[in-house]
Amino acid sequence: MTANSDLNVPFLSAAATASAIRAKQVSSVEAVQAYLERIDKLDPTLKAYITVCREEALEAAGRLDSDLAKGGTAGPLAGVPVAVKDQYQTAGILTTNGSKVYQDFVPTEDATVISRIKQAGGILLGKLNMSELAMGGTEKPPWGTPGNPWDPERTPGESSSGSGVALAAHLCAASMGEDTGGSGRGPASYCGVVGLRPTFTRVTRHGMTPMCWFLDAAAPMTKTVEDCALLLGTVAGYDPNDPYTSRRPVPDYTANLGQGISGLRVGLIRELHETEDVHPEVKGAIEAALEMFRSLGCQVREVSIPLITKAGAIFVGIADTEGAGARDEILRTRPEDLDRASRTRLQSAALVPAKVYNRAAKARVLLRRQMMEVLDQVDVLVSATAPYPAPKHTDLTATFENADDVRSRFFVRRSYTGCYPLAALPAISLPGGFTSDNLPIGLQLGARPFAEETLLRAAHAYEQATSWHQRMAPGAQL
Amino acid sequence: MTESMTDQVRGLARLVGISISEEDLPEVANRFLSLMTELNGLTEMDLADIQPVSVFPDEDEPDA
Repeated sequence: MTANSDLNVPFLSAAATASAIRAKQVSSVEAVQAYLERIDKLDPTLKAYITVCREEALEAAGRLDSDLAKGGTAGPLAGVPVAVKDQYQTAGILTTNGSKVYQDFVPTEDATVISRIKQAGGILLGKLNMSELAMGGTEKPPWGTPGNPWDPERTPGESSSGSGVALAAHLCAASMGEDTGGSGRGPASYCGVVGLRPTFTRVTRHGMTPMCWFLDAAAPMTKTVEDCALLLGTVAGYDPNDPYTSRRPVPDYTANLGQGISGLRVGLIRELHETEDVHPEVKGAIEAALEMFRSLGCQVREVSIPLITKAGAIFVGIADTEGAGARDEILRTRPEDLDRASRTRLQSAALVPAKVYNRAAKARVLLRRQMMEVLDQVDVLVSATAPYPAPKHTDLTATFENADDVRSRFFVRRSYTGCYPLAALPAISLPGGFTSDNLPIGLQLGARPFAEETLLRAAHAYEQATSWHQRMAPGAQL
Repeated sequence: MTESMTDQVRGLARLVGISISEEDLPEVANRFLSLMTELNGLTEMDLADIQPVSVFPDEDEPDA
């Protein structure tokens, strides 16, 4: 088969790549090679990958091409090069969890998510960089500091940093990140791509190293909303190896994407918008998005969720305390193997008294109650994904000067994304504009449990009515 | 960060069986103090009748 140079495969969506491979306009091997070429040129600077599965990917792509040539049927991800956060266990392939603690860990079996991607025809291109133990704030990532393709001096977000970078720089066609409190949506926002946190229990976590069992979710991250729907449909559904996954049937999330959203009730979360914490250009972008929803026929109103400004603290009170418990042996026996930021964060969480944890757990239930009550009045919640565009690396990793500094730099932004996992609700971040200095702004939409179809339909309608997702990051240029 | 606060954090760490280096101690104390301050703010709310249940979206939701 001859490469079709007109297609420029790395700049296609995953859905378009699969279509082109099924139609034999390009082979899967050629698609993998095209991405490998870009990785070789760009990743020494961007540091999106921890492991590139070069040989394995080419072999798998060759087998798929051979099957197709024999008339085989290809799955929905036919030949699509997919890269995953290094939090997913992969048989025979290093799985570091972004930490020196796991620098020699080679699992013997694939996480269920990885198996499902392969069964759907996806090609595992590599394992992506991430903040240590999926926590965020890592000062010196052992496999290099990932650079934001929109501005290398700025963070790509955390903790699925490599997923955000690889998608924005077109170093993979689609990715699986992970989202405990915003680890998928945050990088999606800062890198100008799409990140979905599904409803808790919608997607199996078997073989995904936990950060906080009660809050972790496998998170599709993609270049387009359609790709996100495609990937969610691939990985969602009951898994006997993770008995807490929902037994609800998995719909075809792509089926109704183009149905329009006329009549949809959209609610702007007042407490996450009418505050000085929000950067003026982010605020402007969200207000423009609301106008766009109105023009698409939606009923737009403001809603109030009083407890949501405390979501960051509630989230940290629960997730970090759980995380410290889960990492107790490391904290006791080899704390020096952890990055300083991870170590001090876990150590401080290990000291939280039981009565304070209990209060946070109760507040979580009250927050969910408030969010569910509002979701009786509207179909989709709207806010920024983050109150400001991507900060500089140096701002993110600077030592905390005092408790107020911790509040403003640590808790505030976590309220924007942390509220949804606390309430076990789905949420998506998609490109919602750019600042005057060309940094992406993330638009976040949330919905009721298992309302991913509504969420994706709203996101797709907005995406198709705007052109933000078509803008090219400077760091993606060869 | 006051010396008494770092002393308290050092003492708490000893009780829970973890060792915090002198270099890390101010950062841990700042993080811990901030978290306590933020979560103490929740005492203003009436949480007495709320049960701290785990949230599973497929189950009945008496609190929702």
